[in-house]
Amino acid sequence: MAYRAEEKDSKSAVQITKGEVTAIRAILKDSEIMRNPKQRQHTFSRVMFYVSQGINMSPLFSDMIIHAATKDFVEKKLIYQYLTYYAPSNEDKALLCINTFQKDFQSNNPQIRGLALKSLSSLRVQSLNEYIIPCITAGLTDMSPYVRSVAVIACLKTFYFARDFFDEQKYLEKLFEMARDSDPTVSGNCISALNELLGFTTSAPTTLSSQHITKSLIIYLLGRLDSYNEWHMQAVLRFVKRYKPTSEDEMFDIMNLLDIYFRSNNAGLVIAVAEIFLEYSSTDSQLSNAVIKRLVDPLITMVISGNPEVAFVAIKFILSFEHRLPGSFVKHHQVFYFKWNDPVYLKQAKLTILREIVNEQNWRPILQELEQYSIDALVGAQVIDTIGFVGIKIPDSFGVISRIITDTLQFEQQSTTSAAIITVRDILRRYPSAYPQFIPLIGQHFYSFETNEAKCALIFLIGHFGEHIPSSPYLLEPFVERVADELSEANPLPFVDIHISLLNATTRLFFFRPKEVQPLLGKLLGDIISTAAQGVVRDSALVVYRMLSQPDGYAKTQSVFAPDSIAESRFQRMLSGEEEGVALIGASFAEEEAGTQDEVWREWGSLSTVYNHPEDYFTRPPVLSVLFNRQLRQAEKEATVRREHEERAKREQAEKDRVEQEELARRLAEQALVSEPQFLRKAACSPQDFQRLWKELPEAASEELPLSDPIDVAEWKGKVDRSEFTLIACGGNAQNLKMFIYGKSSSADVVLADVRGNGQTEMLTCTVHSKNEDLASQFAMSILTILTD
Amino acid sequence: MNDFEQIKATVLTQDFLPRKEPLPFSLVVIPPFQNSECDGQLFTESTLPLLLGLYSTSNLSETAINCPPCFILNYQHLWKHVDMELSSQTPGQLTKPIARFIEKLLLGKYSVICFENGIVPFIKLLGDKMTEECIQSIVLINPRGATSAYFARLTRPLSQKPTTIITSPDVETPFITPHLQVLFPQNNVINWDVPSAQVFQRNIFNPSQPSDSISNLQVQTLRNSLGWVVRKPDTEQREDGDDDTVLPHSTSINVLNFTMQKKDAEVRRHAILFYNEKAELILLRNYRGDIRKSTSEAFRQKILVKKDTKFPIIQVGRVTFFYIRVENVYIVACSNGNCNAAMIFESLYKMIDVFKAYFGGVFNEDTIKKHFPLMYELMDEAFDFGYPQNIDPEVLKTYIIQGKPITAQKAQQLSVHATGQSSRPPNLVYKHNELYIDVIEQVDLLVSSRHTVLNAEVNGQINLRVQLSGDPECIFGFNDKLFMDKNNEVSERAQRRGKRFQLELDDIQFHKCVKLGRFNADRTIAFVPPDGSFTLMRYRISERLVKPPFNVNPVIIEHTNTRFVVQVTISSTFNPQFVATQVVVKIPVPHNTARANTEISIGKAKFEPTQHAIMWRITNFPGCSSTQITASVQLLASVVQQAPWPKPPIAMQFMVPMATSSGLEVLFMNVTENKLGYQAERFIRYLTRGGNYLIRYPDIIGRGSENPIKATAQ
Repeated sequence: MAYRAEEKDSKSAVQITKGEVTAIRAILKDSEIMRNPKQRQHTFSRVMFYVSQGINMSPLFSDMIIHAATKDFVEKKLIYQYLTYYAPSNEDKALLCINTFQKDFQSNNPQIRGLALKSLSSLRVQSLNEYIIPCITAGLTDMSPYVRSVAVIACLKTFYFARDFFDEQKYLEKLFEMARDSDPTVSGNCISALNELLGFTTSAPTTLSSQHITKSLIIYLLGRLDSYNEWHMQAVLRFVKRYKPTSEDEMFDIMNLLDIYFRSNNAGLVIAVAEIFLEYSSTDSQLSNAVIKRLVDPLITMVISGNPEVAFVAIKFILSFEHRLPGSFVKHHQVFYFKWNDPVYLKQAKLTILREIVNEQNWRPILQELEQYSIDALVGAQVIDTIGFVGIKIPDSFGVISRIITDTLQFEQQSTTSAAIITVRDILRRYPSAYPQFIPLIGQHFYSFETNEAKCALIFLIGHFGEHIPSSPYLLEPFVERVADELSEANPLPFVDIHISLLNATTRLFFFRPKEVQPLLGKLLGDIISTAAQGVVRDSALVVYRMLSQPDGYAKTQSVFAPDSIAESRFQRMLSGEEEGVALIGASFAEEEAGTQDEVWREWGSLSTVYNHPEDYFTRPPVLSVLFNRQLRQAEKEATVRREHEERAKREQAEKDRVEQEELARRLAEQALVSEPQFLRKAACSPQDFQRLWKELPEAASEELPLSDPIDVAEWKGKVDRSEFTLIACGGNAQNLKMFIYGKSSSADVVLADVRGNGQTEMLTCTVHSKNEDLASQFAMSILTILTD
Repeated sequence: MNDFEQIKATVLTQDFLPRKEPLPFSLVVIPPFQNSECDGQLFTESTLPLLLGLYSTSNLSETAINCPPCFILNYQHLWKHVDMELSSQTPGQLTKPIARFIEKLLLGKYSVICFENGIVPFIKLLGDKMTEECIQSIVLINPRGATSAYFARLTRPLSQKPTTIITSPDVETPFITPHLQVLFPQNNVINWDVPSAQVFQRNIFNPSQPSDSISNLQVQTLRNSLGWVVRKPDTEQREDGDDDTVLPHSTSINVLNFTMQKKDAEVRRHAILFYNEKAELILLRNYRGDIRKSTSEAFRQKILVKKDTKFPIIQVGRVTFFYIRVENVYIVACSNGNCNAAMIFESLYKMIDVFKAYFGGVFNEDTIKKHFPLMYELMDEAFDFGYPQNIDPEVLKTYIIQGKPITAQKAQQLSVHATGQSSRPPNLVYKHNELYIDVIEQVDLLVSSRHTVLNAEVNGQINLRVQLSGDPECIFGFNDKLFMDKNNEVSERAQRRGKRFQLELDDIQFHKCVKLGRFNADRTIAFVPPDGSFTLMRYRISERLVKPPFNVNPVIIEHTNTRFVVQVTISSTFNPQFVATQVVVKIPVPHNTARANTEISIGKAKFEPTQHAIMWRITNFPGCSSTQITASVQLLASVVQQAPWPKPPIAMQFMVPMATSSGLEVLFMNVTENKLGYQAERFIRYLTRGGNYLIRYPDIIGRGSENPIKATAQ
């Protein structure tokens, strides 16, 4: 009960820690309390509760070890979990618990053996590997399948924490052997582990993989597919995906075998099967299209009957299909109508689908449906946006859309009305000739919008279609009048967009309604040029002004700001890509886009589809390697194409390519290397010396960083300890942390840093004293990087 | 166009130092021309009409004229690309091309200089257009040489994204410093540095001239025109832009490189976290030992605390979070690999099933805290190193028994069972062998205001509760058309019994235990059931076959601006021998309804102001009958003009026991157990219930038919 009483003030969890740790330690040492089994279990639960709260319970490590040899299974699990969690930070003491683990591993109860092995392999303490590895190896041949299944995963763990042993013990080969274990869980875990290991393309296993993923293994796995549970089944399917069938017949055999799993009610499994189908059919576009059609029904079922999250994921997959093979889901538009209780994200996702599948045949019912949603307070704006998209896709629908927009503009809902006016602008930009259907709305009401974008849209419409709005100059007038005030505000930044739109609109309108607009334009230009600060707005006003004041300025300005129909049509031609030039940018987009989309498609089924970005984008941080990978992949692709054409030359060529790529990689890597000055590792300095030097040396640099994460004192301390610099002193709490750090460069220059982290202002400051300024700023940057990394 | 030749020779104004009043500026784009003369011309001329948003500077000075074209790509310019995308009719998100474009810019195909204030439109554009998920964080490189609080303050509100500001120690050579670093999308740090900078230098002056022979003067001119004034880090009053000094030109190139080396074996992180409604972390199970507090904190602060739309899959840093919400608890799985999202959600929901099975059907914050050690124990068994092992409550229950130690012998036996394929405990014996079959169908209906059926669908599931001894094998059959076609015998038997109806299902999903191979061969549903309750199959039937059990026909007649009458006629279409129970019809009325008088023949109707609806409850509604409600609604007069009444649809709930709306019937369920040879008792139950059963109001007839009812009096 104790830990429950504590929750009341869990807000101040950090504050109570210190007292808590000592209190628990006292309880752990109190043999009286610890004799009561109920109390014992509560105490351990309490410790684990604090651990999951993120409170550092590491100081209790030795006290916990004492209790590790308990008979109670539940207690044992809690304590073991604690031990594995804190073992890396208590390396020296971790040795003490090895004995208990080893004893448990000899137990005749397989559950205890399994638990011991699981804990041992999670210790992550390098120095204990010599004790851990034999246990894992023994576990692989244990009688009990439970222990074996734990041992298999333990092999995978060694890959991370003891790579040498992993290779030495030939675990990879063993995993391949054990994939045929009679117990499905053991076999399934083997496959999971292999999947992960084979994912590391750069490491040694790659070379092994192609030899080991044999036809017989695949046939064996597929043969017993039903015996696995649904999670392992998925792992096996991922593994099968790596296999390249040797013949077309074989491929179809596998596909026929797997087809039935589309009926599984586990969405993950359906996706895993679909992945294989798409992978196998990737070379044959006709087959691939057939596969997509096959997947329509299962995906729709996922959207309808799955949990909202699964439905969300399914919609992302549907979206990718719609991009690949447009029209697959056109008939099913009703599936994507909102349900009354759909969460907002699902509604948004459904809107994206609706905008994809709308076409000449189904736009009427879809628009009718969308109209019903436009009053939704949360997604109303997106709904209007979608309606606008439908309009741009299908110009026939303007009549209906204009009616919807008219209705919408009468709402009080700001976000919706803003979206409506923006939609009108978007449609008219694309189809300027459709103005009769929309422009009357503008004259009817006086609108006031809150967002800049909506205001700009309104101004754009008034400016560009002003000749059709009788009152247009008077609609612009209030905006122009406000300009002077807005410019003189402390921060005119938010008004930039409005002012630029206004300038464009007024200038254009000037050529259609010269008499009425001239005073307006004059006032606008005058206000801006006289009051605006340097920048876009003022520059633009000056351009207009200078253009107009040139000898034949009127005509020239008109040709730019109010181009006649010829220019208009040129614009249209450019948009449609008939005219080169602009298309230059557009086309390269399309090209780039297609390339990335192909990449996403190859990774179908994973998060890549959900994010609609290639895997590299979100799993690998560095750009250089992304670039590099891309180039490599590009090279691979080219090599494959060539292989098909020339049998002979291929090897030499590929070799040559590879060498070039390596060279490129080397060069890229060289470029990536930082020319940082070298710091001596852990140069020693006493606090007294530090104080003296601090006073002696001048301040050389000061850096600041806003903090993205809250300060974790212990973690930061650890970070500095792990770096090459010396931590002299450290004090404070998460709200206000102070650190003094000492460093010495290879050229014997010393640098001293005072680092302060402020939790309230979320700023991290680093002041450096040194003789060498370059070095000082390097030092400061390194420290900040270390701390915030 | 001649007069605008000047415009393409654009350089930024010198007055570029941060002031107390920030200056709006944009991106400068310099295309990498091979031959700057002609390509540049083409680029300029062809883009100019589109670049009405191309702004020159106030001083088109003599020095600037010699420069090849650079572009100030601003907000509006980017808009044009959106435009192009819109008009190209190619499907795709609006922002993607922009995203890619900027990425391309940053990858060096174009050189970009982005000044601090230029970020404003940049981010705004990206922020506006639903790209929240797209950009991860933005790293701004402060061109001034020293990071100042001023800069941080200026840029912080620009984006909700984590913004990191990096100072380059040597801003001396302005084009060489990476000016903008965008983490885009997700984690892709784009570092614009030396190579592209060289392109820049070569082009900006003279393509034929090697970059290292640029004269000091040229650099100086350019720098001045760009307004780069560099300050020494130690000069005082950093906030004040007036006393800046220019550093002497230095040739050293010092690029901060934040590219992280790709680790060979990058550890993937996996964990499951539980948060309560107040976004406090309740429990954390770390499967790979490296989810630190900062990760959980980041998720808490960046997702849970925020009020924005919450996507169930979201990335913070390099970690992807998948989360679901059950009662008042958020259950979050996180991983930094590229995984199958559907699988993760399935496993989370399965995990919830396990917890519920253990905690007596309840799972919320309190139960988590109450069963703390058990939670750990269960999660420990369910996943190992992040891989799902065994998430089946029935199986787990056999060997995770809190507090009771299991004997070694039993454990040995159980562990085989736990890892093996069968989810039946060995040697199971029941006194009464019983099998309960529940066929539950949920009918979804959406009727438009013109009384056409927009969507009608049946989602059915067949749930079994199995209490059978030994290892029984079951064969299940229902009136599936394809099955009956293949099995003449069965279909004849069914016909003899007067059951002619054959059902066509749109999609069927089965529980894992069903032998799918056999189903595929002859559509026989054969399985060895697990012990306990489970869902044998789910199916879906779309509108062509569904006959809605109730027809609802609403009419609205407006009498005055503040009074109207709603008439709803409901008729049941199912067999008269069945009776629908718990029928609730929710008839929405405007928010400013003062009172509503109802006339009904059966049930009870009541205006419930909190629900803004008349709730009509009927306990028993027999088949093939019809009834009507007439409600006269009086509105409050109001002076303020309000939004028109959105007319939410009429919603209906009901249960029809003993009937399926699809007509699905269980034909047989044969249980064979070879060893024990018992006869199992079978119980079958059917139930149809209303799911999203919605009927929209038709257009209003009556006096005000031209104006829809406004919640107002004019």
